[in-house]
Amino acid sequence: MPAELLSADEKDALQELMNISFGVASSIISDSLNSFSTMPLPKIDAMDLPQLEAYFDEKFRGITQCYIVTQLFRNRFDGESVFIIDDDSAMRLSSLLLESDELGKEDVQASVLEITNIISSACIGKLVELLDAQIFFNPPVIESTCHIGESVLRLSKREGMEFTKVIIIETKLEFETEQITGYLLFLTKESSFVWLKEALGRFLDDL
Amino acid sequence: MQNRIFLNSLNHGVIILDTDLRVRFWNAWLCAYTGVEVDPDAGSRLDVLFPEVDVRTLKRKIKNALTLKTPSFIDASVSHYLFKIPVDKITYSSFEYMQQNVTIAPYDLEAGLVSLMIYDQTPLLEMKQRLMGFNRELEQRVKAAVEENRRKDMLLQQQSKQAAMGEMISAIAHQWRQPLNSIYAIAQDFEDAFEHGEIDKEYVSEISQEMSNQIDYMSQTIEDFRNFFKHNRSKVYFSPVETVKQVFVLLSSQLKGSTIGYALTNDLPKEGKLFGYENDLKQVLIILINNARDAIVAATQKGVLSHGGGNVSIHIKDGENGETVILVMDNAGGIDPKNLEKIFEPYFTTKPDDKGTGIGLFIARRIIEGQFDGTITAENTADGAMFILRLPHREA
Repeated sequence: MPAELLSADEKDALQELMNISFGVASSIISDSLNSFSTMPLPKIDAMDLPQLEAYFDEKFRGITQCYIVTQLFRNRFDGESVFIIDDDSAMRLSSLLLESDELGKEDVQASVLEITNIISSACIGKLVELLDAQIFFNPPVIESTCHIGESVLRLSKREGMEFTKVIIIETKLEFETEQITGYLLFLTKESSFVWLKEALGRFLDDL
Repeated sequence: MQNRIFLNSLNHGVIILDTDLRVRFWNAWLCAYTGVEVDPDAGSRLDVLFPEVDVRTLKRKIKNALTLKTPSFIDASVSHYLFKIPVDKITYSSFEYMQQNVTIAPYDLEAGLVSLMIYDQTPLLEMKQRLMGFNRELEQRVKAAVEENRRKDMLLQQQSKQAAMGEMISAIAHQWRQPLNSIYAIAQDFEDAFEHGEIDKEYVSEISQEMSNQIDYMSQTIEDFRNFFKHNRSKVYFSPVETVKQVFVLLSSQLKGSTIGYALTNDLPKEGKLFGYENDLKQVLIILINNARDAIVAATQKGVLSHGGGNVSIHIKDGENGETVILVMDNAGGIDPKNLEKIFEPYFTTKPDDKGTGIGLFIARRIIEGQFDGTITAENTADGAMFILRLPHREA
């Protein structure tokens, strides 16, 4: 567990920074959608790449038709956001964002892409900004609109060429009254976690 | 000034907008592609210049970019364009308007300005559309080929069944010969008995019982054959030993008629059960036994095998991986080694034209692989040919 590699102070600092960044994300999404959303504080986990497939299968068992959107972020904190939302939630999310009930497939796709970008930018962008660093985002991409297992398999195999261990930051976006639930995972490489630890150290020194 | 020169040299569109969508900069690429010149000091609004702009969405994305200090995006593959720029090509294009990826990035946070980078994705999306078209065509062709193969398989299966039916009719004729002879003999005996005044109640009862036995036997023969051809497509658990016994009963008269001996040995440690279509396994065994019979008859005619020396034996045992193994063996000298690789191909036969169609072993392999997930192979022993059926145990 990478969190165990952090000192008590570093853990407190990370908790505080995530509180702020995830709070910002939640607030912007609520504002954009004119509806109250929640994002619980994320869980951090680490695993070997081959375990990732089983993790996804276990985590998302039961979800069949869904959108899987990924977005790369690059610099010292390097990785990929994954937003997973089932079809029904995606449709309701799109209705809120576009304020319309007459939506085509492309409207839903555009909405899911936009929300992924907001979440990535807010959560990761803000966290990195608070640590006084810069980050660059690729446009989000819809990886799949099919069954989750197949897509995740493709995802993990492709990424496996580059790194062996992944750090997972996991939370979910919920609009309780509208029955919308989307899962957020930020996958980063070990080297990024090393940077995160160093940056937290500097952040604590500046306090 | 340097910035302006740089932005005008770029091979994509650059706009600087404020939060009211007023155009503060419009680069040369956009002038060229839209034919619209924009004076940055005139305060022209993008949604006035291009009424199709989705104002609400664009304003929301601008606001998010400025708040989050990170870019927002418009994806050409789902949103197509920010505003209409005709493709205007001489050669064919599937798109009327340029497909645009747009990156909306914070430019001046204090002044509330964002930059819009517009990238032409039309060629890429055209290629994607063409690929999707190729894929659809390929899928249709594969589907048609699969359907054609299925149709051919059904035809082959039908031909094989008809061939088996011919064999069966011949077998019925053999099976009935003996009871018919018996009934004929009873009829003659009845006539003699009448002439000699030997008919009494006891005699009639005895004759009646004997004739009933023979007729029952004939009736049972018909029932056995009817069961074999019955179209029963439900999978069941069945004993391979009983299946082999039933097939030997069906073919016994023919084998005996050709003075061919037959035997079944069973080494299964307990009563084995297979799951599947029992009649399909019967069909395979009939194909193999009939092939063995033809080979023995041919070997006898050539003098390779003595008359009455032919033998078909079936041995059943457990395989190394827990599967049921059925060995079908003859002593007709074996298969020419150069043909061993080809015997399961459709229409391959070494028999004379009037004897073989070359579909029997092809169908046998289809059934074993397709219906039982098993394998069928052939090899030569010291005396003849041996077909090895490996049938894995499956749950219902």
